[in-house]
Amino acid sequence: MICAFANRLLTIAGAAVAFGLAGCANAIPLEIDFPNETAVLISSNADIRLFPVTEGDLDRCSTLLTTPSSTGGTLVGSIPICDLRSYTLPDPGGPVAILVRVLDDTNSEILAGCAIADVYPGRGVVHLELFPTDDYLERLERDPPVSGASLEVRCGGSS
Amino acid sequence: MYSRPVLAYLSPLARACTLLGVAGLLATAAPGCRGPTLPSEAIEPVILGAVLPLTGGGLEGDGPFYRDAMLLAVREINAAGGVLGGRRIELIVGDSEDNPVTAAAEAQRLIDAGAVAILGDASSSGSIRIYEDVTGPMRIPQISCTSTSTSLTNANRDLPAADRFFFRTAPPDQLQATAVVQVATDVATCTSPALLYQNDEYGGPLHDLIEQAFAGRGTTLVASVPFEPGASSFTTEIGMVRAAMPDCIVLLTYPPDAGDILRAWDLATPAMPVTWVGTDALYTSTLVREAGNMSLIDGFVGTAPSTTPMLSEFTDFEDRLRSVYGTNAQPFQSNCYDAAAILMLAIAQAGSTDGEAIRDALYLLQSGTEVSPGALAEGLARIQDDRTINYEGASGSVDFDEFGDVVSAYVVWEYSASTMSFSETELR
Repeated sequence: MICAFANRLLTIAGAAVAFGLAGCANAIPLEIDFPNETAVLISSNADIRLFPVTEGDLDRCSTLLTTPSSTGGTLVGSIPICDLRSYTLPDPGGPVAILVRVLDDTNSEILAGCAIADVYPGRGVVHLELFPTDDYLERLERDPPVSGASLEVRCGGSS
Repeated sequence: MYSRPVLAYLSPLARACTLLGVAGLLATAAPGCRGPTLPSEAIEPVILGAVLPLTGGGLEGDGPFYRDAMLLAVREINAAGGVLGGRRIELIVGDSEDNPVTAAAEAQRLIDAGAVAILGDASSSGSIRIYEDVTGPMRIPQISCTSTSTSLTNANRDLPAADRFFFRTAPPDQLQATAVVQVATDVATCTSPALLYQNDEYGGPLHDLIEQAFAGRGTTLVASVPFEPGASSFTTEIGMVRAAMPDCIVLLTYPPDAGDILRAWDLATPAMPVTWVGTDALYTSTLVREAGNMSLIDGFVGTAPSTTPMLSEFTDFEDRLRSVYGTNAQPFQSNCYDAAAILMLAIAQAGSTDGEAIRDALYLLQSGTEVSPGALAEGLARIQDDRTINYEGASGSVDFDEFGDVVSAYVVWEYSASTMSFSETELR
């Protein structure tokens, strides 16, 4: 794994949210896999959208990713990166495409990823990997993290 | 495929919840009690196996680079939602230990663990052993990104087309032999070359081709001496070469033996300066380490397939590599990214993990809309739309011929002790 620490930080642990039925927590743990720690440090927000899918529509991610600024589906959150640690994905009520677009502080999309998941309470972790966009490297080289920057320094007190 | 009753896929907890919901006790609170709606096989990962030298006797320094390039392609595909309806790709890696027997055993282990195709090995000897013992008989696609021996072309040539399952994204040595002789003659200006080669699936066939290529230019080798890879001493072989008084030595081996040979040559008396000429196998920083003394390889020249071509596709690849790993591309990393990328696109194209379907689909990615590194999501989307794509890779076009080979341009490399680095120019 490229960045285990980042993965741990950004695994959405999903605090149990009960709906009145003992033992049937509604938490959906989502693990967002950043390429490396630097990628986290230059990220600002993550837009998370859910698109309901059916059994015949499970290839939908590639289309969503290649459609500029997909705005359909349900925007379930525009989450500050450090807050991903305490963010809980809502139960979408069935199979979904989860589209995550990560923006930097100038609102440029620098990372993106999508995953199909059959989401239901009590299922295991939904794993989603991010990949650099065309703008990522230019952003990194234009404004790299300051020397000594780390996840602890940036996010240590949040969430 | 999806006709099984939904309840059959429910976990015990979810099943209990559903039954409660059915009983009307919690009909509206049921969101907390739903279970899966898709059959488990629909969302299981697709497993690919990679057999690479991570420890062992010569290529272990390069194996991790090859693996990382493959993982880059896997990350790109997974970030695009995976293949075959949202199934993630899982790459499991076996260590060949730079040993053909171990390589075949590891390939078998990975297939037993569910791998539907094999990437690797790095060495030609390992790739051949895997193909002949495992992937060929099991009809499972295999793609090497670094093996260049003509023995692999010949292995496919000896089979009916329907039984061929080996591919590679590095070009075969038929092309490299010509390049080596061109470099030896035109760059190193050799007039009395000798050939010192390891006697295995890599060195043997390449020796034959180089000898023929020299003959085609009217040059006769003053000595042609084989040695056993990993031998404890090369004194006898070096003595035979020295007796022929060459002005150049074409050395066909991997860095560990090359280091031993260079040091032994340096210690022999009286001193006999020669120009060393190598191939892709020595175009690695491992050579510097194995030589131990940079002066021994100062001016060492050689050839290699152009794995860092001046192509926009290569730039797209290297940008992503730098973004994820923070490093520039090493030799053959582009080929390894391509091997993984085209394999996953072929699985998507095939709509199946069946070995023959994947094999056939590898030939279908050569015409249509161009898809390049960094745009694999677009390739998946087009395949989903039943449109044809042409994968144009980081290392070249990646258009396989009937024997699973690709063509490539070549470069001339040279090591400089003063700059402590390799330089590279295009071979024209």
